[in-house]
Amino acid sequence: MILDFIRMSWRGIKTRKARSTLTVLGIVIGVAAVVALIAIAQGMQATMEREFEAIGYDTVFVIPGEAPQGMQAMPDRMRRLAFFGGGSEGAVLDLSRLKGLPQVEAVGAIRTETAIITAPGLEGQGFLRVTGLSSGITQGFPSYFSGFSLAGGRGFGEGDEFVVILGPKVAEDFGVSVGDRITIENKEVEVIGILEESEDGGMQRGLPGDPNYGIYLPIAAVDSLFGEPGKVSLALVKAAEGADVKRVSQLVEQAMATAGTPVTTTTVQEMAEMATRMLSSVQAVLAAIAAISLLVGAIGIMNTMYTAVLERVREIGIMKAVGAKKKHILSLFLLESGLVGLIGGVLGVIVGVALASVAGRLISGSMNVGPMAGGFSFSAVFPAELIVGALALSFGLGALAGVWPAQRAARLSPVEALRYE
Amino acid sequence: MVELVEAVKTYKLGKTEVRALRGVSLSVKEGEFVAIMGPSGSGKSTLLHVIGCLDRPDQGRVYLNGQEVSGLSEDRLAEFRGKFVGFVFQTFNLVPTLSALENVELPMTFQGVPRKRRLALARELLVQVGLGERLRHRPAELSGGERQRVAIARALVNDPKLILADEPTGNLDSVSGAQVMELLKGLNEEQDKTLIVVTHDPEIASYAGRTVHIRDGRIQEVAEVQT
Repeated sequence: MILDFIRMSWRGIKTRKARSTLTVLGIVIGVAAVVALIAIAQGMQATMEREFEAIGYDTVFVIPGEAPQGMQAMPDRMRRLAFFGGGSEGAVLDLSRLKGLPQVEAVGAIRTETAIITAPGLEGQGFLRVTGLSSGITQGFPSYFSGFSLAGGRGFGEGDEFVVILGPKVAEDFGVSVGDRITIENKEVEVIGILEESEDGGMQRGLPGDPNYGIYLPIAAVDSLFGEPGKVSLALVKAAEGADVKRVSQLVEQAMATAGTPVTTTTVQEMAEMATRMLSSVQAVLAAIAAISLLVGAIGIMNTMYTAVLERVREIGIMKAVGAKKKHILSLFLLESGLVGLIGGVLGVIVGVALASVAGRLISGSMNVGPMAGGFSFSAVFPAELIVGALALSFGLGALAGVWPAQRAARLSPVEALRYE
Repeated sequence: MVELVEAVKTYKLGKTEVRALRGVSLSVKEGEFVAIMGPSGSGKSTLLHVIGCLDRPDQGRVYLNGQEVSGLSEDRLAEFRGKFVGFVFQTFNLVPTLSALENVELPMTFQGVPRKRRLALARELLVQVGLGERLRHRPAELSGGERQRVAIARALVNDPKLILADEPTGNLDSVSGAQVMELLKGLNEEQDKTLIVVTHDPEIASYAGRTVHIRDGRIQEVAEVQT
């Protein structure tokens, strides 16, 4: 019996092709929006988790100086965000104090400066950012450098000082290869390695800049070129296994404050929480927009079904005259509106998946500019629950939108319905 | 078979009250062929609706096949008319989007008859009314006479004891009208269906075994007609 009813409902939809198509379109847009937005948000969540996971939840970021005065008033999470931006001036820190802490396994330092560079391929001089890396970084935080694979040459070794590893694009711009020399701050340095090109901007997690354009030196070289030995832009501390990372970050702050060089710390856990919070609020806004478009689609169905009932009053009368009960008429119209919803849902899911995939690519491209550049490869995620849920939702919404018109149809008196012209 | 006791029915048409039935008592025996005649607005269609469980009287009682139906709920009425009554209308009242076969199938769908049996029976009945070649045609592709024969086939699918026809030839030319009347008469004579036909046409009424005249919502006389 249910199959017969579905067949009859389907016929109802087919007989008003244009109107059904437009109604379905309304639902398609709504469902596509919901699916795409959720898939993208889930993809972002997954990407972030992967990134933070890779950095390691045992990592504490240490930035010299207290959080700037103006920003202190701002919510904690916003202050933390400034970290990611690498907006630190840098300060001389005695990191050896941290190595003494029992809960600390490794400490690494990064110093970034802007240098005057001359190279064979450069016309005149270039002002470019150079990054000094301590051996603690390259050895103690291997995951931090998971994308640091060399296309040629070698990595930093013991006793290296005036050597440089270049990103592939900057090497091309400089017109140099392994063994060539460039000058940084009037000092000749040898190119000992060139990185492999990273398509998605690389996995140089947390480091500012795109590694394709990176200019990396041992931190000692940066110290002697720019003076102020021991100056650090960003330090990384790895908590010992089993240690409370939050506690470690507090100990680090205390130790450095005692040394007279206050620092601010944040843990990967905190960053993940902050990012999740931000993402959730963005998601909530997007979900609300998607919900509105779904609602509009549902009202479209309701409108169409209502018109359909008016158009088919006589038909309803006929069906009643030949023995249709209220529940028969009710289920016919509910099924019809549910089917409209479901068709919209199926198409909406297809469109949404396509949209999210394309958007995923665009987002991953656009993420690779600005301070967070280089860290993200992104793709939308389509869990089965999302697909099944979207289909169930669209059928349910369609049926729900049909309740009122269907009830009207079911309540019609057969005699009056038959008299209706 | 059909027993009406002092049936009263008033309905509103816009703001005016129409007193369609003002106390009608009528008795029709099983296997009878009765014509109900009267001018338009006399209440004859309303009478047919009340007999056919499409409508309930405001007062009075209606018995069909020995059961009182005037007090039944709308759904029970639907069930009852689905099994017990076959309707034939002046305007055919076929569903325009359904083929002849599907139109005939329709009442069985609501009775929950399995599809195979529905198709077989619908086909058989359409062949019986001479439309074996027209199964897949939509009503719009059929002539008036053919449409009415589809409607008659539809009226027969649940094997009802009572067939009610409201001006069945009203929209037909005289030739197809005569065919339809012969078909209905045959059902009455050969299959012993009780047949009540509403008409204002004395020629149509002449097919019946008995004619009931109605005027202003009241039965005027009951005349025997010799055929």
